[in-house]
Amino acid sequence: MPSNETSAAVQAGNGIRRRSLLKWGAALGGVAALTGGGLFFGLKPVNGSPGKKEELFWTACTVNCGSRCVLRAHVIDGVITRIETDDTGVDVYGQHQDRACLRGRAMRHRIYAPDRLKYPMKRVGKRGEGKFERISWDQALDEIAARLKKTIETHGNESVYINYATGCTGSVMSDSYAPASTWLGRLMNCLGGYLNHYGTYSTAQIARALPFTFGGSSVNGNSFADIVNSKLVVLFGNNPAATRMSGGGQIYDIVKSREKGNARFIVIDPRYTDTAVSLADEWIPIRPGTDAALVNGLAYVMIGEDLVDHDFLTRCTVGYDEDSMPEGVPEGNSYKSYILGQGADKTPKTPAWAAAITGIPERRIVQLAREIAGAKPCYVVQGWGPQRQASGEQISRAICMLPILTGNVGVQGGNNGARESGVSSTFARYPTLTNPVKTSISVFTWTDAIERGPEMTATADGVQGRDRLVAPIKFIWNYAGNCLVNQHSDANRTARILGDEAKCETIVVIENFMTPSAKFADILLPATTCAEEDDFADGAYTAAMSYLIFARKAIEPLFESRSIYDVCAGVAKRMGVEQAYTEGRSRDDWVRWVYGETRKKYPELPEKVEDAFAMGIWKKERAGLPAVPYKDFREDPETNPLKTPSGKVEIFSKQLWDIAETWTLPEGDRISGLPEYNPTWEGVSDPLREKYPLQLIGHHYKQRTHSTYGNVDWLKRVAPQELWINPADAEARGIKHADMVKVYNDRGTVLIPAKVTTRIMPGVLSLPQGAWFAPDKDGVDHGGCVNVLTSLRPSPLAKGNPQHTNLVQVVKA
Amino acid sequence: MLGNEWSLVLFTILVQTAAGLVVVSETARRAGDVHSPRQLSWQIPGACGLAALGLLVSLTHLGSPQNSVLAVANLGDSWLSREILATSVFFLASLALAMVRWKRPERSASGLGILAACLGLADVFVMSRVYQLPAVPVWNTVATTLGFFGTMFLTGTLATGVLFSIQSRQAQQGDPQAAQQRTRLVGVLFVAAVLGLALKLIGLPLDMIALSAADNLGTSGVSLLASAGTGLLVMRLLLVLAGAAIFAWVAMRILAGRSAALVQASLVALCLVLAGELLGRFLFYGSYIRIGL
Amino acid sequence: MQKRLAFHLDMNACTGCKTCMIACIDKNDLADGVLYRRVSEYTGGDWIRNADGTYEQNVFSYYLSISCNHCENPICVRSCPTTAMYKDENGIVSVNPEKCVGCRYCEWGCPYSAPQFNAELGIMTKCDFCRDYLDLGKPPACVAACPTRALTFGPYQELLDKYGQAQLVAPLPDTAITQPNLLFTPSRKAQPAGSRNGKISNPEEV
Repeated sequence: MPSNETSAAVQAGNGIRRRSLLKWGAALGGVAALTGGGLFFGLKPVNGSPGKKEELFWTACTVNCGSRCVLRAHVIDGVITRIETDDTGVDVYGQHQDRACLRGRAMRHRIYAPDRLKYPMKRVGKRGEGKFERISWDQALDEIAARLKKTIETHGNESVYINYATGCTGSVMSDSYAPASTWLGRLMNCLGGYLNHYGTYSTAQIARALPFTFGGSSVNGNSFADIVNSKLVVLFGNNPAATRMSGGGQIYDIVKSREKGNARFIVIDPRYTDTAVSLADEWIPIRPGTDAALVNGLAYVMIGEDLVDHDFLTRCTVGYDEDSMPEGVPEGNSYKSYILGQGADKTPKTPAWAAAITGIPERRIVQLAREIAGAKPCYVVQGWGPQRQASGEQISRAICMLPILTGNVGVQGGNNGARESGVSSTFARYPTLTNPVKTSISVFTWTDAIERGPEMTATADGVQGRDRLVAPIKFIWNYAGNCLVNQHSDANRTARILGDEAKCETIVVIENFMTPSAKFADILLPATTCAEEDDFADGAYTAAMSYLIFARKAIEPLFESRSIYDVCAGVAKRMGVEQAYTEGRSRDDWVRWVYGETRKKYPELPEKVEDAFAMGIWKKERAGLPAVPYKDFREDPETNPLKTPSGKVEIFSKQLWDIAETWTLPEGDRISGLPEYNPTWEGVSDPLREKYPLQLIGHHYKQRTHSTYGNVDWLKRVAPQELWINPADAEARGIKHADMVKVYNDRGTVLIPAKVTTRIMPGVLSLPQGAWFAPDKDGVDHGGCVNVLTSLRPSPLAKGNPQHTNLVQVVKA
Repeated sequence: MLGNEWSLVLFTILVQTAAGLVVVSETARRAGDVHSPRQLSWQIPGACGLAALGLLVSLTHLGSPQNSVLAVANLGDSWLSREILATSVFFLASLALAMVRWKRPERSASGLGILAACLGLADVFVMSRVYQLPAVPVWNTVATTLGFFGTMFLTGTLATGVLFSIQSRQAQQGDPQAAQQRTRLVGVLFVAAVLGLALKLIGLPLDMIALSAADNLGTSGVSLLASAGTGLLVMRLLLVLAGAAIFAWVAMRILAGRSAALVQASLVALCLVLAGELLGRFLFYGSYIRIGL
Repeated sequence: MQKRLAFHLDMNACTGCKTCMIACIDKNDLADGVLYRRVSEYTGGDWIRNADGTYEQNVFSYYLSISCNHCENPICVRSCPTTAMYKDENGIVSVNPEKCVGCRYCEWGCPYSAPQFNAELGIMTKCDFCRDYLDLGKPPACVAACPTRALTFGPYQELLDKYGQAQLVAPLPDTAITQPNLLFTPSRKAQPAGSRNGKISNPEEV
């Protein structure tokens, strides 16, 4: 390369080299062809090159991470050349910048990824093989309409399912979740409805369980801002450094609160997480699925040493001791009886008992109980990892027992044990009409509904809205989601279920990339990314500041990509419901409609949407002290009762007791009125450990948001997919750092390099969830997809995904 | 980390052999007290060839060889600049020496010879300084200098010896003056070889100390020595010792006035020593462990 | 422009998220194998299994986000044979691509891995403190990116006054070698320089 060009490449402020752009050009062959190769030419951004004006557009990252970030695209000649984030204002906490994490900053290589879908395609090989042929949009929409019509006629609307899909969950105008807030939902509602689902892959167990204890439809904790008022913070598997990574969001909140306050931090987790790295004063490693056993041991000490808050327990709870039990429950079922060994199991839950299960030394359990009980106030908070277990409902309720016993519910600086909450601002939503179908299944049981739909009942399978399903799933819509294979469990079995075309007859996937799920499409449609259309995004809930994001179209849709609104409008037209679906509005009209409605909520927003787009982000500082949920209740439980049957915190839930009496559960599953520790299948005490001795979890990892961004080269470079393994387990198997290893159980095999690290407990492995399933011809996965090893068996109550409950073996490959 | 620096392995060994050829043969020439012994006539042109080859090979190490003329721009601070200058000057002096003796065989050009030899010594010293980086403790010892001079004496002596044995085949067996010269020359070679071996052996424990100190630094470097174990180190020593032993035998035979099979034997000795030195140099680059991140 | 700029890393806030690395890669469009800023993971500690099957451990871990420290005594500048590596009037160390011969000698000697060889261009490349951004009054890309504000920058003396003198945690080299313009707010996990309690545990990522 001539040196002058070298010079330009290295010194140019814009830093883009033509070579790279040509590489994209090659990857995106279609564009180069369509534009005669001119699109990418001359983009070597020599400063001040004439006619190459750089434009800036605010856009957003709208994936399902729990944070939400504004991005700023630098565009030259219709091509994004750089991504920046919020750099507005003075960056004072409370009005701080909403700085994107590494993933948002890699958006350029996501938008221009080589596996970007270019045009509508139709499957030509076997389902799942990934063989497609290009078709026109008209043909694709005609075919979808014809198949949908036939499915509804033959099997009814309850055979049509909109799969859980959160790839665009942060988007307002192209939202992918929940179905009832999407254009797909609106389309299906125009056509007679669809089979719905309840729960999420993130929170199935906890979201179902905690309302039994605290009442209401959702249970929120104090925000991270309140930590400044705490003496002690105990995080159960809560890892905002990996799950809430935005600089406008929770990780910054918790870092700031720790800095401003004086609390000691304890992280209880099988891994020494990135949150523990920066924040923890102490890490207490615990075996996965045993948090409830730890809580029991702590409760035993608190009760035995009389460290519990009798006033709170008496005034505000039921089920603590035999005096506060609901009617109709036999003697010996109170919490105190259970803990002290006076209940049915006759087992005192001593620290020694808990130590044997959790792997935490007895002495440490005793000390921890005293520490938690002695710190006033104490902020106990759980993430959603502990509940993603075979008995996760019980675990999530058990963790809340610590604040309940110590009276830390409803106080400033305390927490009820649920996940932190915060403040947020939200856009108005376009109407999606009403779903005439009231039937709903658990988010995790759709493969079951394909295989044996009408066999599924309310009391055996958690069907809601009907006693029994009326039809198996025959048609699946899958827009912006990878739960079709990758993020569902038991990928091999799921692939076999989907592979049977006689069962589910039609799968329509609308995507940006050739994901493992996209390969299972019958019709595969290319969708726009956020940067290719006007959009809005609600700010994530955070501790100190709420915000709204206005994401303007930065570049033209790549190739033949279309917005989900237009895809649905195309189907609606062919199904004869165009007017009902569009109400005569284009997508752009709906953008303005939504903005207008939003301005009614926030009159201080600019009058014109164009001005909002130019502004990019709008922020509102939280007023006053951080909110304290359950404060009113705690102060006066009679006047401000909870929405539980007793109006109080239900340590013992009669509702659950009754469910346990009436539901049909498989051998080994248990639902109980108390938040007990349940040994489970593939848990620490399962005899299967003879064959598969190691517990496997799948932590959230900075490389991806679930599986989103899993194809981006930059992110794979800085954060490669690796299996975490303790040196003790590695040495016993002759495994060295970076060795290729084979992780397997009866469900499948994954080949992946080992990260030998003391940061994980002996006996436990972790394979970060979300890596893309890449099976070879023998079915061995080379992508590192943890769901090759996870089970389709749902949890007892929520029928949720227990994706951290797995036993495996590992050997050197 | 730098286990694949084959161009630098070749460059340093070639140039050090060239310097050894000049230093040893010029010393032998003076010790032999002869103006232009036939047996010592190819060493200087040989050295020029090796040095030129070394310089050419070193270019392949560069990412942008077109800028290589700039590489002597930082003599004030950079040992690398000095190395390039020192090697070039040594090469030019040796070339001049070879030209003078070729054009005017009757002249001993001993002044120029001494100059070339001194420049060779200086070059080897400068080369060793290139590697004495504070961030690379394994290299940053006098053992690097000793090792480089050891290589120079060993390979230089053996190369001198090989050429000498080839040329000695035509020497008249009965000439007492030639025999006396031979004895002196062989004596010089013998001393040089012993010196080279001794430098190697002194450097060895220093190397080991530095290595063990650098080991477990918790740094990013991955030592080739650590991974390949001491097996390679032992093999390398055995090669050099075997070569030296054969060379000693050759020297005794020459002293005894017998020349049969000496060329082949001395060639074998040179090859063994060169193989040992190549291996040793790969290990040297492989032992690159840098402190820090 | 300010003279003698330095980076500061608050170890209590750095979660090792690597946003700084991606911001840098995007801004400079870095080729494969080239990283101007690297986040090293330094981990140590041991596990002991008790007789009852429970575990004791003293594990610690922390991340160090390090780019070029634009040292006061830059060994890369001193060792560069061509003078391609230079420290400008503001103290920023960078490579003149017109002069660089691609010998990688600067790479050998820098204890921070700052000079990075670009195989396609055949020359060394490195962090230039986003000189173009500084000229526009903007912070460097990595600093502007940091979600937890762990990474900051400013004139060396200002940072020194604000954060104190801490410059050295394991496994960083003796500051006497190059006098780096790099300051830390150490966390309680920070190990002293020269400590052998831990090691860099993500060599494949840096």
